[in-house]
Amino acid sequence: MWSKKRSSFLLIRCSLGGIKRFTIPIPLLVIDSTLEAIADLAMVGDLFFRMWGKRLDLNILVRMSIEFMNELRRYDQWQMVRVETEKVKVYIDFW
Amino acid sequence: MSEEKRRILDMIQVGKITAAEGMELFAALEEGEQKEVPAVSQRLSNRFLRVRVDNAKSKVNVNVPLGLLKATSKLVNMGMGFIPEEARLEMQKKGVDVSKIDFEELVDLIDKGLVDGKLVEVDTEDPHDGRTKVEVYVE
Repeated sequence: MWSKKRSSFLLIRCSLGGIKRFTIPIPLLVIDSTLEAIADLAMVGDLFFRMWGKRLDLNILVRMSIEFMNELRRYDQWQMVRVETEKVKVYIDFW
Repeated sequence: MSEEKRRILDMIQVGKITAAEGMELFAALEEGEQKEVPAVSQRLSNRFLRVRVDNAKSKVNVNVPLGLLKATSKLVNMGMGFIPEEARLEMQKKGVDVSKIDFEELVDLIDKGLVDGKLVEVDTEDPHDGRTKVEVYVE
């Protein structure tokens, strides 16, 4: 399962029976870019949380989220979830 | 070169710190960087926790890379700070102190102790739902 290739898309596929089916492809590059972009906002968020009295290091939070995404993409093509009932089918794949 | 490293070199250049002190700072900086983003160990990185539920009416397969546990353990530690004080006190009364749970250490223990194979296997027979099989295993 482990591969040097990285997955590029998150595919959410749902089938509700009959012709009712849809697929949501999410480019993982978009999620990566979004996380990189909000890293700069993390410092502002830190100030907010300090005012609120909570200690939350958003820089670490964003960095950990990037690490989380990297980990998900590491395995190239793999299936995270497959649920099949009599009518409904849901698949979450990384491609 | 990062800003911190350049500053250390500047301090050595202007004589604020000695070269030996600079080396110590470099070492501390590298140690800090390693701590900030923990590398997922090779043991965890290519293994999956798999959950299979199978009966006559439905099938469920969930696959979770074990490397994700490592990546999320720090987040979980941070999330613990958001448990409301009343709930925390309530748990402490029952002998559970969540602030003392170190999830990174817990993941390390899982990494060392979790062997490939079945962790859970449940096989039931129900007159209404039929046979249900649940398997949790590491692969």
